[in-house]
Amino acid sequence: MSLVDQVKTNLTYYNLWNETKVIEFKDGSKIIAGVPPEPVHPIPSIITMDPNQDLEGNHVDNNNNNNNNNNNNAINNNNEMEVEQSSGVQIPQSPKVEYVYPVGLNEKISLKQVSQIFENLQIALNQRPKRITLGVVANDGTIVYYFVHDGLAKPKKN
Amino acid sequence: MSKFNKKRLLSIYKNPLPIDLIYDNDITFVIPQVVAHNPVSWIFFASSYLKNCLEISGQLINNTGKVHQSIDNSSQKIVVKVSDHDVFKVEIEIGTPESDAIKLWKNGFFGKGILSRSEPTWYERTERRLHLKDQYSEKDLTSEEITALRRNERKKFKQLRESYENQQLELERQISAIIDRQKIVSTKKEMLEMENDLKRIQRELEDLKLLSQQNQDFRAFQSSHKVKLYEYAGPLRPDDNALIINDPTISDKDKRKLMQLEYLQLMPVEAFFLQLALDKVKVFPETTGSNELSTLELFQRCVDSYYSSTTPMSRLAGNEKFLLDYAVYHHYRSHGWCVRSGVKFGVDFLLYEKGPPISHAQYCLHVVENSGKNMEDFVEYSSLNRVIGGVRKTLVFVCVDVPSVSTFQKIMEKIAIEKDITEQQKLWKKLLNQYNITEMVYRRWVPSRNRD
Repeated sequence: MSLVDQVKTNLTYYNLWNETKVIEFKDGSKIIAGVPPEPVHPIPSIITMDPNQDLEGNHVDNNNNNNNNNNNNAINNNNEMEVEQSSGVQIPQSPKVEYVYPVGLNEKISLKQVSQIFENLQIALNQRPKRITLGVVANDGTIVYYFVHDGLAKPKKN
Repeated sequence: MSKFNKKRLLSIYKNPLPIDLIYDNDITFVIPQVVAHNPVSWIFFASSYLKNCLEISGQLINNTGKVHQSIDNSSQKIVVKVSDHDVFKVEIEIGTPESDAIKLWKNGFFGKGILSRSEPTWYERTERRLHLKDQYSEKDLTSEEITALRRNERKKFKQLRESYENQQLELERQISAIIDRQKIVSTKKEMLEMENDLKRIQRELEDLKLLSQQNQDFRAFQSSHKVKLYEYAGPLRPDDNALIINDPTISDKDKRKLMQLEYLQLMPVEAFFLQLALDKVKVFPETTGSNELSTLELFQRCVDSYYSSTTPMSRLAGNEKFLLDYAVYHHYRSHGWCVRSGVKFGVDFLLYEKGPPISHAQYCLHVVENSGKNMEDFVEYSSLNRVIGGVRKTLVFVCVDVPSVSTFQKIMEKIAIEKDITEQQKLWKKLLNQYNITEMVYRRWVPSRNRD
């Protein structure tokens, strides 16, 4: 089983995700889309980078742009968060599609690659997701999942 | 964990390694237990010990030249298949309680069920989840199911607590509304009605407070509300439907069968240990018609599994990650520890005194080559230590001394040309002896908290 299959099987039959499917990008890399059985914790407000400046693909530039634009870029408010904060009551949300990118434990993954995944998703979906999840596959078959947000994420309110 | 439960588990998992010791049927070496405070048992012990010794010596004299085999190698070796993606698989047969995979798990906790936390239990869990098998007792529940139950109960508890809190707020709001209205009414009749209302609501509030008081404690909630795990059978997910074997000859609903999707996956170090040290497995490439891998071929495969490309044997330096990991794995296994992957806590290995079902892992091993060059910085160590401290484990740095490249290559060359198995075994042993292991416990100390 390839890494993608391992992660997909794990999501479908261990974590019981629904509608898992593999999306293949033009550059040959693959990502898994699926719906978790219950909503994973809400995406916090994210201070996004300007997608157009991202396309250049240069890290250092991106970082600089990001820093400069922080003040200008409006904070992308997430509706769920607003509801939660204003009424103080959690409204049950239905789970949303999450994107899981499989990585081997011994693989090294750079910021540039992560940025490329977001780019690819934007092209494939016509919409840039706010986060992806890395599915790190260890050599005993354990898979550990880590969130990667597209920009600075506000810490979760406890 | 209760004492009884621990005893039961220890009786299931009594062997630290998958080795069957065979006792000659003629020699019954049964020694009764000694109870320290019961002198009668001492006498009993001494007499049966002497009797056994005499019997054995008698037998040995009778059958001179007969070698007593202590390790049963005649039993079938376990078949391991390695895929193109370097996944070491052991098949899990359905319905055989002592299948190879179960044997590896029960005797030393080797491998991990790919769809389970560690012990391969996916098949029975899924049978219950899909209501293919309805009869089971609470005792049969797997650790994954017990966790799910506890989480469900916790969720219900929180929901109930929230609803009490909301009701309480609502009643308090009503009370204050009545008090406000009392200030402006004039007729005695209205006044009396309000008094009554107020009393009624206050009583309700008292009752509610009592209820929520009783619910305060999650444990009390747990004992009074048993949540069921698989309450009703909804329509099957398409993914689950694909797993059910549809046999047209069987019409009975209960006879629907589930496909086995899970296998036991071994870490490369486990596979190599089982082959080199215990000679308990045969490793085959997954492609059909391939021959069994020799120890050297398996070694090469294991080394390569850590990288994306193949490194020719002549280019290996002896400090490859697999070699460091294997040296550490072999070291702790030979000292009787159960060694498992530590990826969940960001370390190389976890050390269990007995095994995962019996107790939590006590130590987290971080493997480093003792070269003095590749020290990571203290910030990294500190964050690692905080993670491990958070789960109440102890971080251990395992420093491995590595042989020089020339020493390593010399031994490897000899292994490559040695045809005799026993001689080759000796060379592997010689190679392993080149690796020295030093442990260092790393623990944060807060001076102000340690003054008495």
